[in-house]
Amino acid sequence: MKTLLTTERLRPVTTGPQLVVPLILRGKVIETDLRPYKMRASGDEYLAPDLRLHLDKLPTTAASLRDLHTISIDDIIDFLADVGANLDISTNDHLRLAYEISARASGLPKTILEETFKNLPRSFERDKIETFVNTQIGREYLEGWVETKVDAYRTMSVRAFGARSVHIIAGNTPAVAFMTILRSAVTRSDSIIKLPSNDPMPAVAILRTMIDIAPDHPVTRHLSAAYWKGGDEAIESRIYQPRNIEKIVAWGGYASVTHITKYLQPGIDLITLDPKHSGSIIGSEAFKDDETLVSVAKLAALDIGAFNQEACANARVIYVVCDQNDPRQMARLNELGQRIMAALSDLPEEISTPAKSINLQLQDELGGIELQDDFFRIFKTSDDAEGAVIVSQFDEAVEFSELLCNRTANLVPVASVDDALKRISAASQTIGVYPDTLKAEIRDALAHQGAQHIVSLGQVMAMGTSGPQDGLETERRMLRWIRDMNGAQMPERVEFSVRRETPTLDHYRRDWRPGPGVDMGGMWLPGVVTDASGQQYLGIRGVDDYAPGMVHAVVPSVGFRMVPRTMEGDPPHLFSEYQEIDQFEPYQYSETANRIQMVYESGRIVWDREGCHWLDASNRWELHAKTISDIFVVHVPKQEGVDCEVYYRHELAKATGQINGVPVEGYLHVDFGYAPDGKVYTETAIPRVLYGMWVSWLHEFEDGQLGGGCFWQGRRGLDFGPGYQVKNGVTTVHDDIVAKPAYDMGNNLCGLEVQIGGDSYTFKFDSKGSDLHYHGPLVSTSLREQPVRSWSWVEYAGHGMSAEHLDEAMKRFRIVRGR
Amino acid sequence: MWSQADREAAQLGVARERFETLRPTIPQLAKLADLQQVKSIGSLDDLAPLLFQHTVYKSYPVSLVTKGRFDLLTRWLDGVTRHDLSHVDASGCAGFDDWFDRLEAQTPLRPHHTTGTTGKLSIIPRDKQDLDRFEHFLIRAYEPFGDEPDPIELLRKGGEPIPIVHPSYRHGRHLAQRMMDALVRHIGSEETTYVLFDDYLSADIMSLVGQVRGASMRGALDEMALAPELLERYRTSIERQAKQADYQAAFFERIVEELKGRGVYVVGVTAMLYEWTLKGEERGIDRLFAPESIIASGGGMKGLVVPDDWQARVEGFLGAPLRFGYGMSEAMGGAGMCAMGHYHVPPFTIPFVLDAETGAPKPRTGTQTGRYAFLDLLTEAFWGGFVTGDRVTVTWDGCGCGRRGPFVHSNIERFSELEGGDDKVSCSGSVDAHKEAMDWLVAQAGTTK
Repeated sequence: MKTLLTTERLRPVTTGPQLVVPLILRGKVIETDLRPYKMRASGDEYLAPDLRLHLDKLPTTAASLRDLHTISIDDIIDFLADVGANLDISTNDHLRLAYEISARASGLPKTILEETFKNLPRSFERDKIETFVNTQIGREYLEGWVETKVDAYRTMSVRAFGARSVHIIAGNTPAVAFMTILRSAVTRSDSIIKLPSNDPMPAVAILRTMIDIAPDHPVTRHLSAAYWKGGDEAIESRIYQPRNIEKIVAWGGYASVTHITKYLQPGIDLITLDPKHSGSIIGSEAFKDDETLVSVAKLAALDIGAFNQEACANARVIYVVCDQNDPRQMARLNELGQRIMAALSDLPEEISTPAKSINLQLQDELGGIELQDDFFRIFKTSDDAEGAVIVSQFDEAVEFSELLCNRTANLVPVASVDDALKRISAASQTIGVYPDTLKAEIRDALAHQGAQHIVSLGQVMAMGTSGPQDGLETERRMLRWIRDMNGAQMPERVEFSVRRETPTLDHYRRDWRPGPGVDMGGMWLPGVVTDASGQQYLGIRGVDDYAPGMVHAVVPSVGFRMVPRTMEGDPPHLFSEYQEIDQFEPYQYSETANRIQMVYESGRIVWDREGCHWLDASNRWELHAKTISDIFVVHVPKQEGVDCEVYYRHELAKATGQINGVPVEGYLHVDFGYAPDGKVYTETAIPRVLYGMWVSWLHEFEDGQLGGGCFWQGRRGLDFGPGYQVKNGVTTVHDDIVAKPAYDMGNNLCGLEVQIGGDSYTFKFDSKGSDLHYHGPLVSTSLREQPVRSWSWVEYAGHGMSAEHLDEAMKRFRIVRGR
Repeated sequence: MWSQADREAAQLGVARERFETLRPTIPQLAKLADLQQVKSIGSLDDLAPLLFQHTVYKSYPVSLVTKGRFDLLTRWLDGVTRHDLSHVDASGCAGFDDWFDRLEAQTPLRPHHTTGTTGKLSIIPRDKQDLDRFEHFLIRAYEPFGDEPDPIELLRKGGEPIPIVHPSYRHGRHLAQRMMDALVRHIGSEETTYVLFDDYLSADIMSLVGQVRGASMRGALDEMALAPELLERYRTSIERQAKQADYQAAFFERIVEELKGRGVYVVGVTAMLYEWTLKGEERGIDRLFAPESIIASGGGMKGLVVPDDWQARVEGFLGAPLRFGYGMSEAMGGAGMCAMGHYHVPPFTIPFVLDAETGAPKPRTGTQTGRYAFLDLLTEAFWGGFVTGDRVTVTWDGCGCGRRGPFVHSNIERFSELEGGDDKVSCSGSVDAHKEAMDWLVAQAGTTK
């Protein structure tokens, strides 16, 4: 059976003639140089040390928090559990004094205060705190660095560190002080608690208990409690400095928070837990039958009356779906009001009691509307302290709804749930809803309107401390969240090798591999050609690069385009079907000793002894290409920062043919990617981590002789320069090619100085085939003879393609690839 | 001279008669009497439970005004007046001003309204006869005690109209304008009246400013949407309010020029008279008016910080003593201050000191502190019983000045301002909020042209 402690049974604590509110300064109790202050409401005087004498010691340095971070969360919980075991109101004098003062100063009656003080040890129990730490923060973030994978190549580590805070706490219930200390300890914060004048002692009691148990414990050494008159600029301007504190947690009204804002500056984070008003929404289901009406009345009374309506979660204005123009429905609403009043009077005294003192302003307002029935009806007993239920007879709340207190509520009929929702604002904290089915329906809408806690009617006081408060995660906000970014694990030098092979027809067979353990992960055929007038054309076919057995035109990034000599980057498409959708087509592969062929609906790609033939089925695009280089192969083995090996091969060809009947000639290359485990090229390190720029070109001398080359440049200064050049018909491979880019005003790549072996090449880019592709002539070389014609293809995406972009692009192929 | 006992016996007789006449005709009084189970009046203390809260005369929902439901407002008013308003046609009323016009045209009511700090005006439903009595007693407010000379007669100088000075509006239905009507009609003339604005103080603009000020103090100005027509209608008033400092300066010049050395009757709030004094001192003016002038003042300092000797300086500048009174819009006659600094309650007002918590009347002897309440016997159109929001100290046993009967000490405080204690974080005062409200309205008026 539950028995309540009564004050009579407690040995009273002698406090001397006047109450002293000591200054608790990191483990020390200071009770000297006292000055008198007036307690709110009761008007009693009490004494507190002159804080101006201690201002130098009140704030601490950021580095001083190290000691708290050298002990484990277990150590902290152990200590709190120890403290909790000593928070027995019948044996702990500090706590009993706090209780006695609260009983005098607080608006809460003794019965409720006793419950609150008696429950205190329970909230400091080990398993309670462990649950609290896990639900509110996540213990692992307090214990150490938590590593998370950002993408295939990067991870980050996050750890939560304590900060230096000032807590301006509310005094309407001692629970705020208890909560603040708990929060401060588990977040490893250094906290200065600014005591409220209306109930200063609960925080002092716990801190003194800590000092009795372990004055030098790091938790004790990082908790202070002080009284000063709120708004005392001489004190506050000294404390609220970024060098002293990082966070201000302010419970308090508009005026007190507004007043704090004058101290805000970069480096100080203000967390406001401002007073809110709460209410309820009751659906028309409440009127189903008398039994339901009575039970709804009891639930509503609980939400109104618990803690004597001293908490901001208590219901004040209650919207009830009800037709104000239907006298029968209004009669039921009035009946509900009457029954709520009856239920309020019946609440057990450890939950709710008549008010300790009536509120004159509220009584004046009630007196004003009591005498007329047109707009408002009032249900109350002969004792004003019992509370009252005002039933609006039209769809508006009383204008003095902000004064509602001492178990006074206002029922307001609304035409619909929507009508009720419109009246919920960011000043609404908790909304109790009946029935639960309605709650599920409107919780999103309630959130959009600004409500912060949503509960079943009758459950307002059972909410507890789990979860967010007032729309924010206070404990997480009290912490400093530090991120350690383990960026792309990119070594300064990447290990790779280059080689060349003499092309044979076998090189184009689908089962050709550059080495063991890898398969083809994509092949591409880009062509850059010109007609007699100099008009430039660009086309591309991708094969097996996203989905095996499929070809596509790599739309929208490239496709088939007519490329003018501008830097617009979005030249017109040649063929309308490739304008928007990247049409994937299956291809049929066949091979004989002399011929390899891939045939698809819209065309075919053929290799034979003559070279490569790329043909459009409707004869709009026809290129025949002869390879002019050896096959260049670069191999990047698996290594730190490279999660799997990758091969890349490239060859240059001279193309001739026609586009829409116009003869053209120019550049074509064939390149392939190879990777293990069924990976495609876009899943490998070259596009994701290594490459910053990829250049390839073909040039022609007066006498028809051809040359050209291809190479990579590493990303952000990475030394990665594999490639080759064709000079005098001979292909040489290199691993140290260097290119110096130049940019125009629009940040477009407009020039390139390339060094290959002892040779140099200078390019000027005058056109863009896409956002990524640049084209333009080779304007000079270190060669004896200068080329007369040239075509180039540069892929450059600023800081390179990011892994995120490539992952995004690959998402569409999850099903078809089965991975 | 009557003893207090004689006075109370007479008061009880009239109070009983008022209650019996008004109870059947004023529904809200009937309901209060029923609630309190009062059937008859045996003693003055029996009246205490029958006094209305000061909120009764503004207990209508303010949305009736913003939604233009003046028919419902009329019905509400019907609940607090003896007169039958059921026949009043209030349909299509454009606002308070319009509604007051209709009430005066269709009924004997001559209502006045209060300032209404949050836009909700109290409406006091006096009728024509009440108004006549009000005017009569206003003129007699400073009538002499013992062998003192009659200050009005001193000013009149053989029947000449007395110059009346009021640095505000001439006309309107606010109490100050009702006072102006009385003074001009009985002891002055329109020609010898000096006012800041000689037109009508709109109840609608007052309500509007109050609403904006209320929203501003709540930090909800952004949510206020005012109809452009409304702003258009009050544009002149709003802009004029905004330029009030300029108008005040010009008005001051006119007073100095035309009334220097003359005997005048001034009605003005103390804060403004102090500002005049500062201006006057700067220019070396003192004893502006003749010493027999009547300076009726009150209303406090509106947040101004003043030096201890402010009153002497104001009186030195004006050349005549300030006369203070304790009164309120709901009461017919104020309590004038005697030479001892006490407010003497007139005999037609029955004062009460109530226990702040329980509302029970405190003994009508000795000196008592509590909540001030009164029954005004002069009004017959409505029930004159009120509980104020003021904490006062009353002494019942006569004053050193020679007057008998109860007086109120000058240390009057509002209960609503007493809450808060030592740690009440100060917020910007109502003066700032008023300025913000005006600025906002002026800006709104400027943008809708």
